[in-house]
Amino acid sequence: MMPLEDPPNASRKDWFVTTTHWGLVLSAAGAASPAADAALNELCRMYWYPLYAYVRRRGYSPEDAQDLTQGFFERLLARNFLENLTPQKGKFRCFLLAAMNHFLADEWDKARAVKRGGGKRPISVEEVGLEDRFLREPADGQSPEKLFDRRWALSVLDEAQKRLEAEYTRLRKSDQYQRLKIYAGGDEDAPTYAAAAAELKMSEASVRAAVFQLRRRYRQLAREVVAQTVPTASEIDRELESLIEALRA
Amino acid sequence: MRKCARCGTALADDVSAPGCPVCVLQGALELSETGSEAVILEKPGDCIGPYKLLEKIGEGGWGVVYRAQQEEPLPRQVALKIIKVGLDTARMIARFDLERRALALMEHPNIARVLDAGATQTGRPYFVMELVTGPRITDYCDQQQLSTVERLNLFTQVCKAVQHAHTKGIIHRDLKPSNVLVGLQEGQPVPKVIDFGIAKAAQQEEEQTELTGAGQFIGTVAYMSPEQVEPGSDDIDTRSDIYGLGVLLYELLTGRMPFERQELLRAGLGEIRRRICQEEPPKPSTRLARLAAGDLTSVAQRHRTQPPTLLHSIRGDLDWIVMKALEKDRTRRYETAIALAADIRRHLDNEEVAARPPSKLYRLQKLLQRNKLAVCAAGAVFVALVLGLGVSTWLLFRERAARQRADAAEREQSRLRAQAQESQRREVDLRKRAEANQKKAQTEAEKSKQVAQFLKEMLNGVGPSAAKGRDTAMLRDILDRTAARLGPELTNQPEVEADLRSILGQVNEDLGNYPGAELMQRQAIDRRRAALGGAEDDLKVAASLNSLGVALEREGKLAEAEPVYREGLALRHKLQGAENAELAKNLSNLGNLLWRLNRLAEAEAAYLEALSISKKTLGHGSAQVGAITANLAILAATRGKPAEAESLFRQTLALDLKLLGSDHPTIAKDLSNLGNSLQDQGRRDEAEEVYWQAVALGRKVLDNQHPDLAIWLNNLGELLAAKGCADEAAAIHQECVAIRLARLGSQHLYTALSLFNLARALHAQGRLTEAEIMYREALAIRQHRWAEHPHIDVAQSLDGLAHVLTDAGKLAEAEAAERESLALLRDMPGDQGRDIARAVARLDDILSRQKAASGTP
Repeated sequence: MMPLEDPPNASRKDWFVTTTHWGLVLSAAGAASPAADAALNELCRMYWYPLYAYVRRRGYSPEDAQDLTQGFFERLLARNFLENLTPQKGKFRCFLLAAMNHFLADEWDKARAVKRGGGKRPISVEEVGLEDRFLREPADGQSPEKLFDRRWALSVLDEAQKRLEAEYTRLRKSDQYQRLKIYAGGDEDAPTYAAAAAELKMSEASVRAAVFQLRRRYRQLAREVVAQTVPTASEIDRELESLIEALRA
Repeated sequence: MRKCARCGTALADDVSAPGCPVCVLQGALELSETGSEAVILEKPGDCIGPYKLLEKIGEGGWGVVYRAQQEEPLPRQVALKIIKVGLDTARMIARFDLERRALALMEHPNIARVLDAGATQTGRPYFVMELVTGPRITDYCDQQQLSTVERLNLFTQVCKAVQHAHTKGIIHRDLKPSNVLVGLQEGQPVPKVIDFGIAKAAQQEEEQTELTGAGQFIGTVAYMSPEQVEPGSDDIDTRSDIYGLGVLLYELLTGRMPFERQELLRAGLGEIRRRICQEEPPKPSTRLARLAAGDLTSVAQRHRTQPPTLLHSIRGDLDWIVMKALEKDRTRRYETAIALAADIRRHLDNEEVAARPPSKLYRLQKLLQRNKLAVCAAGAVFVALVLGLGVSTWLLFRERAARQRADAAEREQSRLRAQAQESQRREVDLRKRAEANQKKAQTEAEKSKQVAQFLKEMLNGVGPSAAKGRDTAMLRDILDRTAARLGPELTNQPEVEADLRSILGQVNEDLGNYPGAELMQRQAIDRRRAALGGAEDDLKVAASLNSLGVALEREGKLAEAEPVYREGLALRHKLQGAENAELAKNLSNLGNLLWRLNRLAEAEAAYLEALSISKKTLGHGSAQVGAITANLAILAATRGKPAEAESLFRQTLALDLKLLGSDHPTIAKDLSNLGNSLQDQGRRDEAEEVYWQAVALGRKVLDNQHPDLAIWLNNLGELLAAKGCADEAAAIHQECVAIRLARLGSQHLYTALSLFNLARALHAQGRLTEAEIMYREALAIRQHRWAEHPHIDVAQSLDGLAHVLTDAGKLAEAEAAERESLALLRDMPGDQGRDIARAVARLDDILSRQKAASGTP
């Protein structure tokens, strides 16, 4: 016999959020579904900025880019592009980009018309600072698509971090979170735990354990955020790989 | 631009999240690598390339191994490993390929060879290895009853194989018996090391397996070196394999592992890590000597020898060789596998081995390094204990020497006197000198007493008050070490020893180590009685009896505690009369026990008497009055009078705030109690706020694993659950379970309670599988503890389990559990009407669902 004692292969289904927002939207395509609407709304809120940055990099002015992005999302939320979607249509990220390209090519005028007609803003976005953020983007000739993917990956992390912070706040450990969040990304340059331990009145061993928890939860949340944008859970890993690729590029 | 030190990614300014985004996503990716929906497509009988699969002989997270038949060019059986479907991402394929290439580099008689590699038609890679058949090395040695020397010879071959891999730049990372199989070649046993390259995945898997599959995971982790269990550590080199070899050798010699699997299983992941990184395993010979006689005999039999011979052959050289391989600090381990083998060779040749018992100073230094505890008090205690006990023995020795000198001086004196005033002046001179000697002897005796006193004072000062919220692992370690040294070092001073043991008991109690406290107090009583030499018990015995009672009560040994309390009370009453504060305190303790035993009227009588004595002797504003008031409040709450309880708790809180300030564990206790009474009155929001304050204070002033903190967390968790906040409740109960498992153990009723509460919260969250596991854990503990009578807790656990099983659609199991619960309730004395009605209703529900499921109307 040649037994292999690889790590346990226990099902982790219970430990992960397996509902994917995007999967929900796709399966409801065409039909009315409040749950799918809510899911889509949430997705749009999270990925507003990457799309904005993409449109800006395509050369539109800040005002136009904002109008276009907003118009695009309004159309999306009215579910105008969704009728022909099938669950095989792939990832939300790819869908969004393709739909936006289509929109930019054909629908620009219609979007303006919608806006002039006083279309409501269905999603709230902190508009202040959009342009500030854009101006900080690397301007080293990255293609709009590459910038979009990169921004997307970072939006995933921003969202994961927001959720992480909310969780710690809910458990009234926000002081711990504030003090330890610099370690969340596993940055080797972060200062040692001694100072944090003194400030939090914890032992270094406890700080180390807390950081471990924090990191793991952060990663799980990042996974959950990504999970919401793929049609099925089995594609999470591929999407993560693409995002890593985008950040390295 | 800054670069990530780990993965080298440039960290641009537009990255707002801390750390390196690539590393985080990489981590997120690794969370599932082996856990995603991988499937196995092949089945025996299928052909892959020229190989026909015969049977599956192993399966790991990402690969499957088959025994396969090869016909061309020569017929033989081989092992074929193929990557699972769904894992054949570019990344995994690259990793798989790396493993294959690593294996192909090696050419050693003790390493399974790679024979071939290829890919299926769909591009999934596989490789073919020499098929190693044979038992694990440990099993082989035991089955064949190999002697210690024969075992060492086999082990040396394993070392050479590992050395070969190391010279090719390959680290195994997962050496353990199941990866070292023994086959026969020309009648000779030949160990073969298998599974190079897999451990990389094992190590990354580790981070997320905290709860799932913990058993399997621990199977691996028990062989891991400290640097491998360190979270997020990638810094692993060949010396990690030396550690793995050390564990293997340990097991070959003793039949046991340095850290027992079972114990590790019971501990949480954090605790496992702590042990592997900090705890010194017993030397192999010590481990053997500690085995029960029967176990030791059977180990010896497996070595074809007798226990004394076995112990003798291992004690000394082999102990140190193993311990050197197992050093926590890898720079102190053998540098290479071949150096380890060479030292074993030297031992077999009766030459001096390189491994040496570490010096005392080195151990002290290591202890200090391991516990970078920045508390002055604890630091001072440490010095006092580790050095102080040395000093005190030294002083005892000096005292004896001085006394001898004094005696000699006296003899000298009389001799001089007898010589009759040969020289007046000289005699005076000598007498002066003798007096000085005598005085010196007295001073030194006094000094030794002072050292004991000093120790007492130091120990009295520690406990949670001095070690507020710090990591108390070191302190507990010191206490154990001190306790172990007390007997031998203070043989002639039972009184001093009794005092110290009593104090150690107290400190242990403060730290929440109740079994330790019990042991110390029992020994204190023994020693004290020995010191009294048959005379009547004194007040110190009474004090120890009271402390023993407290320890027993905290351990949950309620029936044992009562006679102990009563004996202490009677003794103190006899010695001091009724009007004293200490008696009142002990009475109040007895009241607590009676309350726990649900004898509420007796409890109230005890409290009231204690309160009246305390007011008379200490005044109305004393801490003791506050504490007893709190006890009365709890009693009122138990009797269903929450408003009365609230008012009493508020009195206590006000008093304690005045006496102790706001940063004291007692305040947290008061707050939690107040919260209970508020909750009982339905004032949930107020209660929640008060509980959060208690928990926050507890986290601040106590060590984060203190059992009291668990109590407050539990209260908070239950309130949150009642308010419908299942997520928070589950998180809080999880923390609570972790503390209780770590501190009270896996058999404690409080642990069961927390598991049960956690199960309910998980159930409310819809996490059915986890809830089921937790219910079952709680049930097992409760069934064990209440094996003799039907108990409501067991019935309740069964009911909870039935509920979650119903929701999970496991109706047959649910029915069995609910029926068992119902049977228990019916057997129970007293009125269980309400519970029975509920159980019947649930059973009805289950049965009707079963009908619906089977389609019968």
